[in-house]
Formats: sequence, structure tokens, C-alpha cells
Amino acid sequence: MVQLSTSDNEIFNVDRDVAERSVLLKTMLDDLPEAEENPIPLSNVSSNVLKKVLEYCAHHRGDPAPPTDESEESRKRTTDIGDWDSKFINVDQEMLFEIILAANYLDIKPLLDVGCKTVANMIKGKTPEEIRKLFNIQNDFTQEEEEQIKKENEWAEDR
Amino acid sequence: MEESNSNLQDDRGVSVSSSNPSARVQLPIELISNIWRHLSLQDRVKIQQVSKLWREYSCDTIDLWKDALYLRDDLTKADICKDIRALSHVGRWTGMKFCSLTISLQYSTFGQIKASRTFFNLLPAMDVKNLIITSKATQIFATRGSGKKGSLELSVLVHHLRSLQGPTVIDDTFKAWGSAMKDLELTNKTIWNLAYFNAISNCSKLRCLILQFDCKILFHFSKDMPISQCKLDILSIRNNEDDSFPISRHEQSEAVCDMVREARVIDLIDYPSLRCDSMLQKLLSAASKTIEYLTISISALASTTPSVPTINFSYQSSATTSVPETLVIDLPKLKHLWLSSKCVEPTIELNCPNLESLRVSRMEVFKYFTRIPSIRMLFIGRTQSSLNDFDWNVLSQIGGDRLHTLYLYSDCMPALDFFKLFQAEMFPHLRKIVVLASSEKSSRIKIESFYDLTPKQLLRSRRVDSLIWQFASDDVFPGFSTQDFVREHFAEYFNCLRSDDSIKYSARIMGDFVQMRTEFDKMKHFQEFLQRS
Repeated sequence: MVQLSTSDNEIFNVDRDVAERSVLLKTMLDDLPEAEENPIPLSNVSSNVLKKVLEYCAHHRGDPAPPTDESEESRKRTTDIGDWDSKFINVDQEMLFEIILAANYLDIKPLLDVGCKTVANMIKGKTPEEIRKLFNIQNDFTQEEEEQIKKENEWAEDR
Repeated sequence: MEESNSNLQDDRGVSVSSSNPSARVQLPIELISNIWRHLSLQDRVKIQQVSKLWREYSCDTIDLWKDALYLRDDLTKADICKDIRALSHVGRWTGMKFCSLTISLQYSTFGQIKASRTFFNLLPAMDVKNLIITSKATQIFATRGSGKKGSLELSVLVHHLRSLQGPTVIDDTFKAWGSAMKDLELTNKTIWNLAYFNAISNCSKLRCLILQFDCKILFHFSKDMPISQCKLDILSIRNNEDDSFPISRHEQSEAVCDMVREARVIDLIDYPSLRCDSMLQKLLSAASKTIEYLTISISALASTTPSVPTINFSYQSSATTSVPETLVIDLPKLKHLWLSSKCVEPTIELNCPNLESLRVSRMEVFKYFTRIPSIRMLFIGRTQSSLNDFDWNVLSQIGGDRLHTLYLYSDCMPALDFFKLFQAEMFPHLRKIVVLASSEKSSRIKIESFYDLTPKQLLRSRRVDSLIWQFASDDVFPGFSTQDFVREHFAEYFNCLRSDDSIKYSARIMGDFVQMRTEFDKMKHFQEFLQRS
């Protein structure tokens, strides 16, 4: 059993193989034997997010380790998400972004991929303005600039 | 969570707006670019319109665009028009340039004709260094008049998009593209030739030029074309047209001589129309100082050349003469030579003091040398028939020196000569024999002869470390297979290789005289060779 302490000071008890889905935690547990006795502080992750993340880790505890090398094959674009994963990731946008941040921090690549693919699916077919809303970004182009870029990029539209 | 946000966001982080509480969580731009990787090219282009940061960051992330061509939803519907346009745009905003370009031309649909035109129009502006043009059709104009109107398919493969300094400017070429569509008619060979020719002759930065068909292009380059500025490292041309090229424009052919003045690889083995005339002489003379790897095929007799051009050439009198003089060409750096010729009276003689390996079509080709070169590797081609006194004399001169590896076709020469070669004591340093089987069914290997020989008898007087027997894949006798037989009897002494995977094995077996399947293989092979040396 491994103890994890969240940013809001909640303690989670998890099996070691579940925790080791996170490359960060695996490295810590391998390098520091005493880490098993004391709670590992995860000051970047809140309890409601960690709960979700651990749910993912527990479901995927038996998965083979993902390939470490970024081969051409694994970089291939795909937005397909497995059944369980797509149900799992069906959360509000704030939680989605939190999960992505946590997956990145904890170094859980498959979860990061699921999160990024989900956001990519949300971007698909949206207008730039809709994307800005999605990401809460302000439009810092002048109208001329925006027209200019739009015109330049017209070639891609009919692909 | 506030804390984690400030930790994760660097100065490139997305600006936070408190007006939208539902999106309080912000992702750092590094993670956002991770999301972009899952988008199609169209969507990737669109994200540039979102904000200045997104635009800047996406343009700087070269990885994001490297695989742009493979983002099509339907890869079977390759559209070179769009591909080329996409790549040129991507190239402009990322500063990436096309370093190597491999184009495969194919006749298929009219829609693809304009694609080829696009390609030909864009090519000169792309600063390509390595250019490979291939055609799956045996002849590029083969479909002319066959009823399949204007069927041309072009598919493009960009193997490397490499970042170089400075952005590429390709704007104006698009304007030409629109107007060029109208006059394109495939039925007219000349127009096609012209587009192809113009595109290549306007390239000025090529280092490696590999063409699978040439429309006699090589000899039509002139000094006022941008391509004459190129200093080619590698030149490889295959000519599928049988008719030999006209010799009428010799004043222009000097441009190609300038281009190869620093060349290290010239590969013209599949250019069978090369005559042993002054053009070849000039080409070799031009590259003589630097050439390391040369393959030539000289098919026609020099004396049958209808007219010998009257050009001022240092060794030659300016007067017209029907019998060209023999020119000695020093090739001090030449290491690998593949020489194929049916010409018994050569008008050039080669002096190659540093030759390492030599492949000859027949032993007769040794007449091209001022003196028999000292080599480590000899490959005797399949057109060799029985060995005469001249051949044996040459072999004894070569073999006595340092010949290490011998490649033979098992079915080319009479069995007597074959085994004499095998057992000859004239090769004291020989350590490796490779026997290749031709795939022609009419000339099977003389396996029957082996029935009476044990390996020890076969290799009676000789110590050979490595003996490889390669089989053609269809080399199966009724009742038993050659391979099984040889394996059973000679496995201890032979390395038996199937040639099913012929390229891999050929590469290993044939050393530096690989018969390469594609022009792209050629480029890789030549570039590896140049890196090694």
C-alpha cells in the first residue's frame, strides 16, 4: 500500500501497482524505499481530481507498460478512445483540464493522451471563436490581422 | 489549485479571464500543443487564427508539421496539388525547406495532370537538394494514343522535411499555376517534356539528382539554365527509352560537365544509350578529380556513331575524323566501378590506381583499363561466356595481387571454366566466393556437376572462409530443390541463402554493387557510401 497526500490534505491509500501507473510515483517508490512508509505529498493535485485519476489507474492496473520510444506508429494521429475511457472522461470541461494537468504532472501518458484526444475532438469543426471560448482565450488579433490569416489559410479549408 | 496553476504555467501560459468561471482551469501552451497533435491538418491550420500565442507557438513547433502529409483522412486519395500547396505553406511559416523530394509519376486521371503541373511549377522554388523522380510506368509516354485519355497520377512522398535557415518563399508560383492549367494536354508529348524539363532545369541547388527517366534531359542542359549552377554530389539517371540520344547539341552538353565537376557518384548503368563517344569522354573527364563511385553502360560501338562532332577538345584535333582517338582518363579517387560494355574497341582508357571493387559485364571490359587494376573485389557479370586466354591472363594478374572476394554467376560460363575458376590456384588471397544464380530458367546452375564432387575436392587447393550460394527463388529442379541439395551436401562449407528477400541479401552479398529496387534505395545507398568514405 502507498499513501498519497493531496493539495487539500486528503490521504489516499492505494495499491502499489495502481500508483505505479504514474511514472513519477514509480520513480519515487523505486528510488526512495522509505516513500512507502510516509504519505507522498502531491501538492499539485486536489482530492477530487486524484480520485478520478486513481479510478483510471485502478482500471488500467494490468495494462502492459506503454512503449517508451516515440515511434512513428505511436505518433500517428488518432482520436479513437476506448469504451471505458470515453465513459470515464465524460466529465465537465474543468475536470477534463484538471485531469490533463494531473496526468501530465504525474506522468501518466495514456491518461494524458485520452485527455488530449478528448479536447481535440472538442476542437474539431469548431470556429476559431468557438475554440477561444473553449479555452477561455481572448482574441488579441486586430480585425485586419485576423482577415489576413484567414485568407492565407484558405487553402486548407477544402481538404 | 491556485498554486498548481501558477506552478504549471510559464510565461507562455494562456491568459486567464475571470469572467468565465466554467473555464477557470488553464492549460499551459505545451500541453495545448499536445492536443494539437491529435488534430487534422485542416484543424491545425485553423488554430493559428485563435490567438497570437497559438499562432506563434504552432509555427515554432516544427514537429507539429512534419507529418502534415500523413494527416489525410483517406490516404488512398493522395492529391499532390493539395499536398504540394500544404507543404509550401507549412514551409513558409515554419521556415522548413524540402531537403529531399521523391516524386512518383503515374498515368491515371486527368485531375492528376494538373497536379504534375503544380509540382513542376513549384519545384524550382523549393530549394530541394535531393531530387528523385520515378515513374511506375515503364515509359512515361506509354499511354499516349492508347485511348486512356490523359491518365496521369502523381503521388508525392516527402521523406524529410528538414529545418534549414531562413524561410522559403514560394508565393508567385501559385499564380502561374492557375493559368497553366488550360494549355495542358497530355496527348502532346512535347508539352509534357517541356514542363518536366523546365522544372528540373530551373533548380539551382540540387546536390543529388536521381531520375528514373530522363527524356534525354541530361544532354539538353545549357549554361544559361539555373541547373548549371548546381554542383552535384550524386547523379543517377535511368533511361527507359531505347533510342539513343541525339548528338546534335554538343555545345550545350557542356553544362552537364560543369555540374558533375565535383561529383563523387555517377550512376549511369541503366542508361544504355550512352555511346562511347566524346560526350562520355567529356563527362568522365569533368568528374575525374572527384569521382569515387562510377557505373556506366556503354552499349554502342564508337565507330558506328553517325557523326563525330567537331569540337575543340584538348586531346583531339579539331578536324573531323571517323575514328575517335583513345583518351586516357585518370580517375585517382575512384573506388568502385561498375562497367558494362559491348564495345570491343574502347575509345577511352581508364587509369584507376585506387580501385577497390570492380564489377564487369564481361572480362573483355578489362580492355578499358590502361593497366589491370589491383582490386579486392571482382564481380563477373552473367553475360560472361567461356573464358579465353586474355581473360585468364587478366584473372591471374588480378588474383595474384590482393583479390579477396569473387562474385560469380553459376550459370554464365561453361562448367569447365567455372570449376577451373573455383579451383584455380592463381588467387592466393581469395577468402570469399559468392555464387549467384540467374533467375532464367533456361540457364540453371550446373548443380549436376556437383554430384561427383565433394566439397573438399571442390575447394581442393584453397582456403576460403566464406562461401555463399545464392539461389533464385524459382530455382527448383524437378524432384529436388537446388537449395536442399546444396544444403545437404555442402552446408558445412556453404552459406546457403534464399533470395526471396533478395534486396536484403543482395545488399549483403553484392557489397557495393547492389541492384537497387527503387531510386530512393539508390539515394540512401549512395549517401551511405559517401558518408563512409
